[in-house]
Amino acid sequence: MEKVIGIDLGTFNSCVAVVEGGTPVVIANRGGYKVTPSMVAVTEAGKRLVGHIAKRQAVTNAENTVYAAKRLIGRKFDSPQVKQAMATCPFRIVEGPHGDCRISLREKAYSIPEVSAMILQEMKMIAEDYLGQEVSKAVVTVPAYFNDGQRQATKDAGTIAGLDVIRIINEPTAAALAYGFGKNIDRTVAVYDLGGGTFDISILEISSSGVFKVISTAGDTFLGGEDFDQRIIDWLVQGFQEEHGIDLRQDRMALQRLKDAAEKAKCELSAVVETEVNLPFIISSARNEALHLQRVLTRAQLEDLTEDLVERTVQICEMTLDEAGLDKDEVEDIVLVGGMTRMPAVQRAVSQFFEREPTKGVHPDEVVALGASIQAAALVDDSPEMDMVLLDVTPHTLGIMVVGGYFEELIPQNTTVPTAKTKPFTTVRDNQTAVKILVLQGESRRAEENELLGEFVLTGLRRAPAGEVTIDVTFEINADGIVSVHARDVETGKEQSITVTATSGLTQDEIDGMMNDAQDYAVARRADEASEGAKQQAETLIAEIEKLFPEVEAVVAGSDFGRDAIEKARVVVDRARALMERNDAAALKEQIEALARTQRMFKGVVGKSA
Amino acid sequence: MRAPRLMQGAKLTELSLTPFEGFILSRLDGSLGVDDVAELTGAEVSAVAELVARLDAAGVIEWVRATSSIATGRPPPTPASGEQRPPSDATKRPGRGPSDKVGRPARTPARGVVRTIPAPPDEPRRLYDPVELDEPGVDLDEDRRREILDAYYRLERSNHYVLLGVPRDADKKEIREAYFRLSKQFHPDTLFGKRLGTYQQKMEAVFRRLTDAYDVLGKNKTRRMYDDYLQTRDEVEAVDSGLAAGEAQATEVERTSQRVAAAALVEPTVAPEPSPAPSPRAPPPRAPSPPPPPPEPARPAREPSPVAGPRPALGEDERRVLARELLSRRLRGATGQGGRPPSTPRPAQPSSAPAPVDREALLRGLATSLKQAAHTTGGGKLERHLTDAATAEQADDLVSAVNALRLAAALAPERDDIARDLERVRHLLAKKMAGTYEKQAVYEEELGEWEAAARSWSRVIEGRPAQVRGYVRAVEALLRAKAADLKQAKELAARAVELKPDDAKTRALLGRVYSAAGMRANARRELEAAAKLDPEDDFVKNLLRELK
Ligand SMILES: Nc1ncnc2c1ncn2[C@@H]1O[C@H](COP(=O)(O)OP(=O)(O)O)[C@@H](O)[C@H]1O
Ligand SMILES: [Mg+2]
Repeated sequence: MEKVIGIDLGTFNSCVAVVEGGTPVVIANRGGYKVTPSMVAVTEAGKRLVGHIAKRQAVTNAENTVYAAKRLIGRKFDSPQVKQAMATCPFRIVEGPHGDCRISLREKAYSIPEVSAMILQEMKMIAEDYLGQEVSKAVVTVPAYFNDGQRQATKDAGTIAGLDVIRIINEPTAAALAYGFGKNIDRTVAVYDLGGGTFDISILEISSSGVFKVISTAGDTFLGGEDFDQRIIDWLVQGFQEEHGIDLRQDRMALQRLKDAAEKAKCELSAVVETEVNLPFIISSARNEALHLQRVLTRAQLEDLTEDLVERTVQICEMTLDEAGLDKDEVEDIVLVGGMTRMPAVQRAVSQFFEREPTKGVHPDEVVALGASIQAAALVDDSPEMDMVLLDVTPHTLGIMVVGGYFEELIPQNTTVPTAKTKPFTTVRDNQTAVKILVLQGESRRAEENELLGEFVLTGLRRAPAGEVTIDVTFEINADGIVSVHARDVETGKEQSITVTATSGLTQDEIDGMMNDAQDYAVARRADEASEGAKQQAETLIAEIEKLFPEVEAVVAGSDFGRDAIEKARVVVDRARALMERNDAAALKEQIEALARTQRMFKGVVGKSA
Repeated sequence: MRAPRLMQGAKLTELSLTPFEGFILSRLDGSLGVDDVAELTGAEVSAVAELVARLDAAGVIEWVRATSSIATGRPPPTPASGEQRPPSDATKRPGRGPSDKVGRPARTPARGVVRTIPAPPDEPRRLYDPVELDEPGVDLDEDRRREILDAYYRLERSNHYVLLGVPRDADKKEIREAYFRLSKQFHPDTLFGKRLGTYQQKMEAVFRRLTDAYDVLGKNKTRRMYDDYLQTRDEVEAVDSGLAAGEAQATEVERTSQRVAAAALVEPTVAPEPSPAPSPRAPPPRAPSPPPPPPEPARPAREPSPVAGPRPALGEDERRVLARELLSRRLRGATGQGGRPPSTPRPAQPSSAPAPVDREALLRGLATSLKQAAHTTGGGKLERHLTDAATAEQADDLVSAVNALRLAAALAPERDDIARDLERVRHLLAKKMAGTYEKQAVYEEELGEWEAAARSWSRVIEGRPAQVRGYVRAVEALLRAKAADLKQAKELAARAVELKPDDAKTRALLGRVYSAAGMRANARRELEAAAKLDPEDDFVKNLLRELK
């Protein structure tokens, strides 16, 4: 049976897992790391770099290195989020043809799904290398707070990467799946996920029968590790200003270095109580002398700087519990997810709030991917140990626009899906024969502040005074999360409906085109890898042959046959070298045969003589 | 309770009986006790008891276990009626007790009292649709298909407890387990990748309702509210079925006296055998629940299928056949016996009936003696019912009080004071129940069950006839109901206007009803009145503009 993988496509780090023989395992990348930075870069030579290598060259190639692209996914170019990113990101964000945003790398504009697809493709390849077979299906996680457009964009990213995303699930939900899997427990748990850019909290009920029911989920899309980093940066910048009267923020290079240093200091302070931020030659003074930044930051100071951020997550926890109608003591376990939960102050705040120690034995970086792989197996695998059902909820309120520009809710957030709701509406004018239904998603009372998912018109209403015609509007969300809306004139029975297809801002043609590009890349990359492998093999053989030459010469130099053989060996090696130079993988593979024969022959000669 | 019954093959001609005694003897069918027979015939209990004792001594009757007693108005809690309906088997459609069908409709409502909206009739049992069951291109075996269809078509009629298959006193754990177990059965993800056709939607619908049920029952607060609602419904049902039983009993008394009087004159107009009173503890089961047990095991079924609830009115032909049959049996001096079809001839008793030639005389005598009995002994019965009513009222058992007075009224239809008292107590009961009905109405509104809500509001009105709110809400519910009864709506809206003639809202409401009914002139009149009272009301203005 074909394996379906689970991918945690994180803002900062991504991770891939698969269930093997009933056990979910995280797959390490070629470097041996279980998480891969969600970073993409294009080198001067036009080569694409993903993951650790992209991260390593980020400081020197900042303009062509994309990180945290997830923050931009499904967002309009003129949205405040994009504006903010443009102000702080070293890479160039440009407007796309559909009011979407694109990232310009070495003169080529990439859509956000395309960038995400590069990461997904990388994760796919990591899995393929491990499994030794092609992978075409995946379950991908997103923050619980993603709206329909963002989810669709993530799906499109999958499509571009050559992955059929059979289900999108929420990150905290996935974490709960991984936590509860195989435990045979009946428990109410809270999943607290503080990552690089977002905070998510979910309360779930886990049953020993293998049902995972999300009761409530909430979060803040603008609260994460980066905000902690920012506090450190501000503190450093302010100190520098006081000391030298220079605002480091004005210098891009300095800012980039500050960022890296701040994050590094933050992570270090999770393990030690004091660390030194040391940035020599950070900037030049007005008198052109080099200035250095050197400061000691203590854990206590960091906690002081970020206290309100931690407090904010606790407040959201409280709200979520309230939503769920639960008391603190009804939460029987807490699962910590995300790199930021390594910070002792965060752990302390969580334990204090829930009056309970968070569970140990869950890896905060891997648990989401593990959960995704479990959900994948639960869907496609009929075996009894994978007999599980995940009952997820709608993250956002769904409704329609009514007269006055208001948003009228039909399906409230945190409703278990599949679900359906009907509400009666009426006309605003006399003899109004049609009504316009604008389908929206969001929590604002004002319709325009919410996300427009789609619209349609119901016509052929019976002529009547305003307010006399009853129109039943029904919203339905099926198990795949697909929203359909229909409106019906109660009297005449006339009906009209749409299936809401959220858009990622890309047309099908564009997606197809990007998919082809991605495929070409995959083929080239695989070919690259193959030739890389051949090269290595050839190099090893050549090295061994070279090493044996003197000995062989010594043994056979006396005979014509010997001299002839040595001559031939020279030719074989030279040819292989030439092929390697030319990058001719196919010919090199053949040449490897010749090299191997030569090597065997040399070894035989040396062995006999010994 | 044990009841006397005529023994098969008893030699009745050897007894010396008055025609009235003969009639009483014909009532001994093994299901009625002495009290019941006295009740039905209008004879004194002591007289019946004396006769029965005499017959017993003569060895022509036997005693069998009776299955119900109508004399007390409350049947013995036989296992059949107790188990027939599991406590949780109430349906979403509330208050469908039979009372309104056999209840007041026959009477003209007293002034100022608006008739309550009758409950919908019971539905017949349902059959599978092969289009669904054999739907092509679906990767489900027939068992699984039926499982899904069964669950799907049960949704409308099941309350949250029934749906989850847990008792009403189930604890949280039980509820949670049931929900999770059923979720796994019906969540479409359990069949991911399979072709489900229309079953996908059905599974989703089932799952949705399971989730609704769990969301409500899983939290203390919402569960309390729901339990409250169910209790309200139970209360209403208990009152409904209690009243229905009383009403059936009284109707029977009325019919008996009519029949006796009629039988005395012309044979074919004899009224049919009274149908058994429905037992108040066991209101007619609804269609999808287990098949209703025969109402009275001791009685033969006289119709092709057991009738749930009160018996429908008989057609003229049917009535005639029944009457003839009844009469001939009566003339033979025997009643139909356990399980025996009434049409079966009884060759073993050629001489058990008085000679046909005596028939006319017998009937005439019967009628006379019955009248006498009613006059001389009926008073005692009446007294007893009136005492019962007073006692019950004192104990705040208003259902029993209504029932007792209703019986008294049946016995003495000429007594206006009793009729008035009955109305008074009925009103007391309605007043007492008004809060309960209102709770139910509000809940039904929340569920969007407008027909039911309109009905419940109409019952609130009964108890609070002077409160406009009930009328308004009833009308609004009626206007929202799919098959709105506009006549009813008009009646209610008109009452609201009567109560508050100077209120723009009630006028507008009546106007809306007229408008919905297409009575434009009337609608305009009311709306103009409303517009005069409140010139600012946009809705009224719009409606008026449209009507011009
Ligand atoms: N040891 C640590 N102490 C504190 N913060 C850490 C530590 N390790 C990683 N982080 C922070 O966690 C964040 C990344 O978390 P992660 O869960 O991988 O993010 P995401 O899921 O959003 O991709 C970054 O802000 C990083 O600085
Ligand atoms: Mg994460």
